[in-house]
Amino acid sequence: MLETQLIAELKKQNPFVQKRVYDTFVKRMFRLCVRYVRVEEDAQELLMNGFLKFFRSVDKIEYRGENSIEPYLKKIMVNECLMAIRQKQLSMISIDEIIENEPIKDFPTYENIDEEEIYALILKLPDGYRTVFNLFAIEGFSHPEIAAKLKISENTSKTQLHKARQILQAELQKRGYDYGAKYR
Amino acid sequence: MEQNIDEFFKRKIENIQDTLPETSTFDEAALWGNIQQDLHKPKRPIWYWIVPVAACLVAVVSWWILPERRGVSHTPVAIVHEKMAEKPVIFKEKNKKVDSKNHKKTPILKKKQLITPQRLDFQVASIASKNTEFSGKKINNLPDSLSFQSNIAFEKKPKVNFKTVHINEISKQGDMPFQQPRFKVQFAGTLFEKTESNYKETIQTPSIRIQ
Repeated sequence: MLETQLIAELKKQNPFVQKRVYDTFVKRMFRLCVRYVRVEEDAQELLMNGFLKFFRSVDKIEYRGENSIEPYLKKIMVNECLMAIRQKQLSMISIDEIIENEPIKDFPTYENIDEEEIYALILKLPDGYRTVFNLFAIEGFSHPEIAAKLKISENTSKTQLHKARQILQAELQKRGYDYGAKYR
Repeated sequence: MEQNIDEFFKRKIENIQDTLPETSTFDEAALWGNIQQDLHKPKRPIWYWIVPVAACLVAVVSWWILPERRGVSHTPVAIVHEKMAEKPVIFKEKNKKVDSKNHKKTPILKKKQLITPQRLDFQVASIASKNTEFSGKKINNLPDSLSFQSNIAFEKKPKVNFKTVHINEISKQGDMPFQQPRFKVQFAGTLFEKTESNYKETIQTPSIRIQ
């Protein structure tokens, strides 16, 4: 079924199409929510709210070529997660003076690194670092956008990202992956 | 292969996004059931929200409008501010400076405390007129509103000695041939003069006083 047809059926509140969309994206969205809130029970609640919002506001989806549903659903889920994080009053550690290092360019690829291990490393990050890292590195938001979403300064956002990268690097080194000699 | 650390993490995470962690307790079917329940939950009609809100509004408004509920009486209360009368009139004179230390400031009265004298007269006069009706005589000239009580005249009734006679005694006397005296019969404070012609009617009426 084409995505245009899928969107049309979703707008008609077709339960079969709703189930199909749910089955397609539920795992992906669950992973996304867990990356932000870490606790699976919280993630399930956010997932449910997100899907409900999606099915109720499906009229607002604008068809922009193939793969229009996922970005819209992702946006809803990220917003749900950020709302939950804001309610918990995320603590951000601000470091005023920081030399912003460019991400290392000569980062060797270790294809043998387990993905689940990488995923677990991200979950181990402190809340503030993890949120900014997820938004910047995985979702692709810019620092001004992150600052606006989390109601923090751009400098704080940059600081959080820097610290997150440092921690991830250190964790990878502990596991024997010596890659970041140039990254401090 | 050179690549950014952020891209490295992003790619690694995208590889596993369609699988659940082995230790995960996430139940997809249960969550879908909950979503279905919420999606097909019948929406509450508008009146479900409007009716209680309207009821609350009516209750609040009626509580404010009806003063009896709050224990506020309608009896007019005369508030007289003595300082109002004593308010000095200051004549401005040319080239005369007012001593700021000795100069007494006139009291500032709030608008709410002022009651127009015309209104007061009307209220007090109505109370006074009610009192005159009670005494049996109306006073034509209503006194001043603030001193009406001293001018109200109550009629003093002269002491009258009554003799109580039973009805049967009168009926017995009726048989005897003697001239009936003129007497007065008083019904509950109203005085009627009875003559010989309506004598029979008088004796049939209970609770009468014969003078």
